[in-house]
Amino acid sequence: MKPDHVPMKLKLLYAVTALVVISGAVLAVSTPPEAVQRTYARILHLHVPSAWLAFLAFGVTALGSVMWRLRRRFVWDRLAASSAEIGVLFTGLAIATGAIWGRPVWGVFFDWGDARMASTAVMFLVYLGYLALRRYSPSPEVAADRASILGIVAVIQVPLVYFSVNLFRTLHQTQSIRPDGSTMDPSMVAALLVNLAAFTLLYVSFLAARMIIAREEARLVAALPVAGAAVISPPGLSDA
Amino acid sequence: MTGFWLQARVLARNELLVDRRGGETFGLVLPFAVAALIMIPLAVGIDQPMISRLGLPAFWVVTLLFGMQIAWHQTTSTDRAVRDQVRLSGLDPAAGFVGRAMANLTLLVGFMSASLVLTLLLYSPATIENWPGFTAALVLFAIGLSVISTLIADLTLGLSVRAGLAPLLVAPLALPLLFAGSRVAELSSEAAISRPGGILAWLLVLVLVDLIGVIAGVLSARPLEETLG
Repeated sequence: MKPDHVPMKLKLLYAVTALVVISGAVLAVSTPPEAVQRTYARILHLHVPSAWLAFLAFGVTALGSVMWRLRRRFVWDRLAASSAEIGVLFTGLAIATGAIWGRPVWGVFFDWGDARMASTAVMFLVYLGYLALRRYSPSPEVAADRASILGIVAVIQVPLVYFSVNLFRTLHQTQSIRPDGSTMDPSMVAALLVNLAAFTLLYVSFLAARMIIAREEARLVAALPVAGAAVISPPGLSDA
Repeated sequence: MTGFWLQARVLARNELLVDRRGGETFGLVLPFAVAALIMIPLAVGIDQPMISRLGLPAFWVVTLLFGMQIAWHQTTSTDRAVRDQVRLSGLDPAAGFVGRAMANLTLLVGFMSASLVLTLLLYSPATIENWPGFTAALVLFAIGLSVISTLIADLTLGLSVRAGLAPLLVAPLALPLLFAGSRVAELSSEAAISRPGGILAWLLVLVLVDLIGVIAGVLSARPLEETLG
């Protein structure tokens, strides 16, 4: 496949993603304002899916890390690395949208005493460290080996962040949608579910695109002269 | 199991000997920590109540930032030839990890004791009423920091940017320790002694982080050894 060629399946995925994202945005804007928080509550359609994607992305990073350790195929390492990058992006977005919402509703951008906010910030920093560890490792194999250990260890934070609102009674509210029912209006729940689906599709699209880029990067690196101009790495070495 | 602990103890003793010969922990890291503890009140100015309030938080931050440096001193695993020799001797990688963590814990306890005495002298913080709770927090904090620092020290071994990268990885992983340790100190003070139940919850957080660190370190010891080659 040429580097600039996008397969038909991916084009279709991008188109469906765009359609669902637009639908989610329309629904988020058209739902009635919340009784107390008024229009500020609409940011939850961005905040909740971002946080969900962060959990999903770091879970996939852990899965890719485990599979790398079991199979030692670079596709699993690329999956872990690409998913971590997207996870960091969406964790940052979740923190930013939470801060924007927190200022008018809670009176502060960030409350360090809040278990959910503090644990999310810690998770963000740990995965920034994960990306730094990859970046500064001397070879793709060393990067994959070491990052896979951190990727497996760091995923412990995901359930801790998710259940922090249940474990510690702090400022952040507990889950609004639970198995025993929802504390939200059905129209808001519907809009939120569409946005969750839209963001999940966005994650899959980003992941697919990033993995293609990572594969092409690996091919380029493998083709670089390794001992002067005379010796070239055998093709596909990085994909062993 | 006896073999495991014997290996860990022998390695810990050797690590401590290497550190004593190099004098890194008490000759290099501790003086810098002392300098930091002296500089903070100078930066705050003549405000004794403020300096008293800052005392224990400054102690925790200095312990975290300087304490993590102890883990990447010159160790038996830093030199490639020594590492190969240790591996050829048949040392269990998990015992190696436990041994290095035990050595770091010993050094950290010494470092923390010296820093705490200096903090009490320089800052005159609020009187600690619940010493058993506070001491337990200190020990659990030291265990957690030594285990996390040892794991990251192993993970970044041989990387050219290790000095900059390792603190970047240790600091966020150790933040729950800082958070829980400082809450225990706060709740152990005279003003907050009426809420003893809170201390137990934060001690449990420390125990949890320590357990996760130990399990992660022991389980990843062999894969890490393979990575280092």
